[in-house]
Amino acid sequence: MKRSTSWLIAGLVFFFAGVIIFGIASALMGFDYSQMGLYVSGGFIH
Amino acid sequence: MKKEAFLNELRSRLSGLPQSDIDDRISFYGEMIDGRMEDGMSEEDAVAGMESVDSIVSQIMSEIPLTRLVQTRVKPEKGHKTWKIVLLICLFPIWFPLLVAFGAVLFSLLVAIWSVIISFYVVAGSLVIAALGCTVATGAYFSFGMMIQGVGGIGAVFVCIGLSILFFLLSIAMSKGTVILTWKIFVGFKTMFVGKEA
Repeated sequence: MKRSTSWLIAGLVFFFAGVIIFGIASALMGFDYSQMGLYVSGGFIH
Repeated sequence: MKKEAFLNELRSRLSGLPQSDIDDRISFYGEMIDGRMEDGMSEEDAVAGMESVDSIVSQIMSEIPLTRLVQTRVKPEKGHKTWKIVLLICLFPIWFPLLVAFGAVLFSLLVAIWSVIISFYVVAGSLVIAALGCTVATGAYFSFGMMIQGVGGIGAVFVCIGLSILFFLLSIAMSKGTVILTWKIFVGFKTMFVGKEA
């Protein structure tokens, strides 16, 4: 396998692992994903 | 294709080069074909096994300095017509600004492309710094007993590391592509000086 391919796979693995871990942690913190639209629009209003 | 036809085509494609260079290259490739024939190949096979004329010409173009090509092409001819010189001087206010504008456009294009590439490197670098910052924040969360926030911090560190790797790969690929493109434009520019006299 080429070295750049290994780096690409490592980058993708890190990115998606991070997204999943962050998603789980934020869900545990009480972030309600069903209210995402409300959070975003609230952010715009403020 | 026969040896003579191959060498004649090569000679015609190199016609703008200094004569000594053409002779050197032709004898080099002629000897290469002869060597193959001595090894038992037929003339057609020996020629077919060579690189294409296009690829040989582009390789030679990349090896010969531009200054040498220009010197060969603009060598003063004895029969230089007076009207040509007068025309060149009279049209100077037209062709000179056009030449400068062309050069400026090329230069600004190159600067714009490299600015984008450099900005990608900067983004990748800033993501590394962000990953370090998130690592510190994660340590702080854990030390204050905020476990879930700490886990979130680990996720953020991973995302930053992953994105920085991807951005570095993209930047490297873009740099390589731009260097190759610039080199091809340069070689193409040099090729314009040869092969017109055939």
